[in-house]
Amino acid sequence: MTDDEVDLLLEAGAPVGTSDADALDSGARRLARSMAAEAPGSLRVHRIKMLIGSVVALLLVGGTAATAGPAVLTLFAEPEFADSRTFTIDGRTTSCSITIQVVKDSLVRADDPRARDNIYAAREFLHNIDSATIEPDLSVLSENEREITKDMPEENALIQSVGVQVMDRFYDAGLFRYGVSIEGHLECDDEGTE
Amino acid sequence: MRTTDAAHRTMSDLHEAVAPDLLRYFVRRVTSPEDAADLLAESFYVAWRKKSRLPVDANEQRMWMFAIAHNVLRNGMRAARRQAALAAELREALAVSRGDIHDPEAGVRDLVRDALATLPADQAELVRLIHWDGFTLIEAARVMSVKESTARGRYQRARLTLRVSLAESVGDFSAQVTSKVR
Repeated sequence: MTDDEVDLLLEAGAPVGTSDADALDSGARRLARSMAAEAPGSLRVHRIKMLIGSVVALLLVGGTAATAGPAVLTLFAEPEFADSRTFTIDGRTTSCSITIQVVKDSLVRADDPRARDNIYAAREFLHNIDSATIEPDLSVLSENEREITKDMPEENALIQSVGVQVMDRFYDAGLFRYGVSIEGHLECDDEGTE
Repeated sequence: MRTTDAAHRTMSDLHEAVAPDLLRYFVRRVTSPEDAADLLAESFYVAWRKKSRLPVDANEQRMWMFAIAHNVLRNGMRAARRQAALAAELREALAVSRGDIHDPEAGVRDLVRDALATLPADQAELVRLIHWDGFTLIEAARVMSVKESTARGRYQRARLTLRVSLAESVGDFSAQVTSKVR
């Protein structure tokens, strides 16, 4: 078999994928626009603006609120827990990060005072966790978590183990309560071998 | 220095321009095409989170997005709920379009898919990037975050293996077709 024949076969062998390319292209672009409208940058600016309003209101109420203001602003501006680690496994270096953020349970009303108090407590707890006290450790993964990560690179399981330990502390503190929902995100970027 | 608004617009325009190609990239690599919608959404999400690292050069930006897509695919899918909801419409469209596919070249595709499956994952992905996604070897190396020399070596090894396995498979395939015709 010649090189040209190998090329022809490989190119003919590309999966056909989908039948209505134009509609899917439009759908993909719409998704891009929707994501841009909800991009983290836009959300953050919006939240900070909203919180500046809240903090100003608190300052007007009294001194206790005034000292709480800046901390609250920090809590809302970024995910409550964020950590990144670099793993080198079999000569391959991978940079992994994890974020955990408290969000309001979508089933409760935004002005529900009980949910609000629980969310504040949850945010504060996660914000105060010192990531330096957590070591990646595969032994903390449950059987189910090991099953889920078994086909992933080891570094994914390692960064997940950080998240598991954070959530263990969170559960142990009894903070996964009414109105509280958690969103987590982790990612690993392969930085190559040589 | 770009303003925040300008950076936001640059990222939005990039995503809109690259979205169809990224969708095809994922559709070619997943078992269920619908999953491509979530992977695409996850890639956009990751890119927005790394907005400050967006390259200035337009071609570099495109390569950056594919590198993110490569990592998203490698990490597996874990789109957050917000992205999953946004991707719902595209998931549905992909599911519908899958049912309409008529593929007269299915036999050849199966041969190639099986041959690629015999390669180490990094070699197979390099071949897909070059032959299915239209990247040069240098670009493919950057998408995969490896040195050009590493990619070149991997690609040469992949082609040697493919030449043998495809030759064997094509022989078997021809024999099957011939016997069916008879």
